[in-house]
Amino acid sequence: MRVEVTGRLWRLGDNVDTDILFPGRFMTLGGASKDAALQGLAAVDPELAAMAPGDAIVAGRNFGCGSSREYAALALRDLGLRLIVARSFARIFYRNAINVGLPVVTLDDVDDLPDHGPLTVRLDTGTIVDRAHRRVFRTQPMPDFLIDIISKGGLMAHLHATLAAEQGRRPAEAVTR
Amino acid sequence: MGDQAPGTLAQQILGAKTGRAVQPGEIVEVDVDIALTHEVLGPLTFRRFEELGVELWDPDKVYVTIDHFVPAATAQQAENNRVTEQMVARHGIRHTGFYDGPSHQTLAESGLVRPGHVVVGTDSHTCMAGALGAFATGIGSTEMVSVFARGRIWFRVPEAVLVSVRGRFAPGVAAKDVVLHLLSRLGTDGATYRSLEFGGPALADLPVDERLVLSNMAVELGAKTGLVDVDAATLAYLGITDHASPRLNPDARYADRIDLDLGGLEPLCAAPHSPGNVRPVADFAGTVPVQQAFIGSCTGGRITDYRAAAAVLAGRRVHPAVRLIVTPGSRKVYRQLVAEGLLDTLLDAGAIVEAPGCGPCAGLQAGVLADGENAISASNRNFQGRMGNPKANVYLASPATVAASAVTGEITDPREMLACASK
Ligand code: SF4
Repeated sequence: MRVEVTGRLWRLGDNVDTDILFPGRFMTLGGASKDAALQGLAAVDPELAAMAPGDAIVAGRNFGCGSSREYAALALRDLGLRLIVARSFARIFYRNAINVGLPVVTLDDVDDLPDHGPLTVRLDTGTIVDRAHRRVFRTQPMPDFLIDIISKGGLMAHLHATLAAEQGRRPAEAVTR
Repeated sequence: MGDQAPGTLAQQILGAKTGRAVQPGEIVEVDVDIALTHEVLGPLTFRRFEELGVELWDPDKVYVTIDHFVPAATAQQAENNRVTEQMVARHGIRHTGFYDGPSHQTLAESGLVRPGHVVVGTDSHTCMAGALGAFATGIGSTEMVSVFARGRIWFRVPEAVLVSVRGRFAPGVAAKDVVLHLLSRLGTDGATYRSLEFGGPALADLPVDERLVLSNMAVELGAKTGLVDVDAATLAYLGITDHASPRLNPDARYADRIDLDLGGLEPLCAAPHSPGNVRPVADFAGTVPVQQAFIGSCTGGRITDYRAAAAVLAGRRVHPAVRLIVTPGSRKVYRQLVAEGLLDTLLDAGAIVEAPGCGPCAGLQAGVLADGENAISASNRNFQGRMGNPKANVYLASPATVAASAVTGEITDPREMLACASK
């Protein structure tokens, strides 16, 4: 699976937690939206409120630590971010990102990534290509079954297919995001 | 040692579920014994689940609570609570904990968990059930939709870290200080993807209440789960006498080993804005005034916690500039506070006692902080904004340290007060 980052790469530090990515006060049925992420991030650095579709986040260690709130991954996806690259991820966030169809890549030398796209990422081979600077970064290939979930747009769509195949149980109708 | 010797607790549990020996790094799919959700993430989870148009795989394996928005502080919270009640009725779910305390505590008390179970919840502190010998971990809402439909989940079999405890706590030191110590040594990602497993001779002296703290904060170290070896005390807590429980094998292949003398620990405190920002409480002496002190949450709201706090508060008054907020960890704990006379001790000292539940832990109600305020809390997280205000500061410590700080109005080592009390 191929991911294209066309916009800016926003740099964040270590231990970006879920209370920053999605402040608790927004966590009700009516409160979930990408604005929550923008407000949370802006509380750390007002400039981060300018994140836009096509952009990516480049972070340090333990990105997404803390709560299991999937809203954190959902809000970043809904912002139109193409990719999160981090030295390491907190495990629940990592799974949540995949489950909502937001590509995540673990990379040690994040500091060498450029500040702007284009970047082409292949999850199956674990390569990140920075054509402008003629550089290729190598990381762990992602297992096929996870790529399958991301490429279907997330676990909901994947689940419709699995259920249909597994039990012959008919899903009601196409998934709404 | 051949492959027949029992592996780590995580390997044993996932292996039993898979029906063969499993190795770290392998991906396995296993049956779920208990799926937990609550009113914050439950409504979203149920709504997505209903899009699938299938039945819940097993309503008797689902546990649902209303514990964060108790009682509701806004109309939106009230709506979440109402939807949660509707969903429980609609899907025939019998096991619930409504307005009874944080889900992890009420689940532990419910008697539903058994050693060897796989427990998942849409809440990161689901790992607390590890103290009862269950492979327990937090998952997101969509992943829970999948569990609701199929009753199964995939895991990468984790490497494990053995924390072996020996010795006895000095007065004023508690399980919370053990976790803060581990956080200072390993950092907030020191156990990422790993199973943190607690064993050793000192375990026998640790009441299950205290073991629950160790498992609860495993996620603060990044761990997938925090398992504690099972013994007679665990079974008694669960109200059973006999169970074929997986037992910790210290000779299993652990990726890392930590040997800890409890007698060498001192009261510790995590400064803002990370649970890993740990220093001895003594280092803060006279430097950090506090306006709020909180004893409660799934980490610090059990009877052992209130006994420790009451030992400090007995015959003393909370500093006039401090609000001491208490939210008992469950209705059962609340009753026990009454029965043991501890509620009087807390009230006499000036505590504000609120409903059993999450209280101000996540900044959703019941004690949001003002700009620039400092809180000292027996809970588990001090991220920026955690108590509802990004311009406030949260310090994490044991219930004894929180109580001592509530009395003096600044972060204070509880040993000073315990020494006076015993004179
Ligand atoms: S008490 Fe705090 S940490 Fe525990 S479940 Fe409630 S909000 Fe989460």
